[in-house]
Amino acid sequence: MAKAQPTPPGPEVEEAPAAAPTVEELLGTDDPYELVRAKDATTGAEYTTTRVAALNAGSTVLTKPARDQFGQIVPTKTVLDLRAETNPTDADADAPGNTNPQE
Amino acid sequence: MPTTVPPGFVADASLRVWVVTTIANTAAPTVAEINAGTTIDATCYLTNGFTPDAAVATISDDRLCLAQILEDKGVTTWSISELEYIFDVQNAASVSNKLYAGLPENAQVFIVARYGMNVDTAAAAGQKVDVFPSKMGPPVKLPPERNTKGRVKQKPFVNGVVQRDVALV
Repeated sequence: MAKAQPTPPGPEVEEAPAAAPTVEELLGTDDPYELVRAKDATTGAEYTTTRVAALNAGSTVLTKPARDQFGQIVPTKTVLDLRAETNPTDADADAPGNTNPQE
Repeated sequence: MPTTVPPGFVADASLRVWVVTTIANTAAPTVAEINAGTTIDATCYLTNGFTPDAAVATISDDRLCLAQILEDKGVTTWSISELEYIFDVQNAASVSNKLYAGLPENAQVFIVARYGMNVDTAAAAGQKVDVFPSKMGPPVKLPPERNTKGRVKQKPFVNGVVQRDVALV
């Protein structure tokens, strides 16, 4: 007696991924030239720019104020990889730009 | 021995200018920083070139014993001429407006210039670049002229130590 073969699963119907919202959609009615603090996903840096520039760059717009108490633009906060700075390997010793060469 | 003529390089489309938001170490900018999403490739927006300059003061050294006044090298003031670039203010998210939107007044940026290489060549480690930390002045809209694109001019103020011929890492 032949075993009943399990029915092979049919091709999965993949739902088309929702299209990412455009910059215009993200802007909505917000002022595109308003200064905002934004966080860059690639470098982790926080910087001040216009809302539309932050959205163009794919950065996260933060709720922090873009100006300090004196009205000046809050400067960029750079994120340093301290482990890379303080623990160079032998192979890094002669690398261009290495600021912490080994003895 | 015949004269050797060094070939040099063709200047056309050999300069690329990036506006970079963050550089952790200006003596060793990274390819990742140049390629970051926040970086704007300004090259194709600029309409009037890119002109950095270094004004070097002269120290006059007058000695009683000499019939000649000596001179020496004084301090250097780096500057960049006003940038002129296209914009599209009414379409804020337009690609034509990207540089205008990314350079608000007082923005602190790093202007990175790469000379001597085809403009289309991607940034890669080892390429030599100049880095100008700059604070941007106000963008000023230029009066419309016939047969031109709408442009703004904006002065970058070099407010950090300029790095010349540093290698991307």
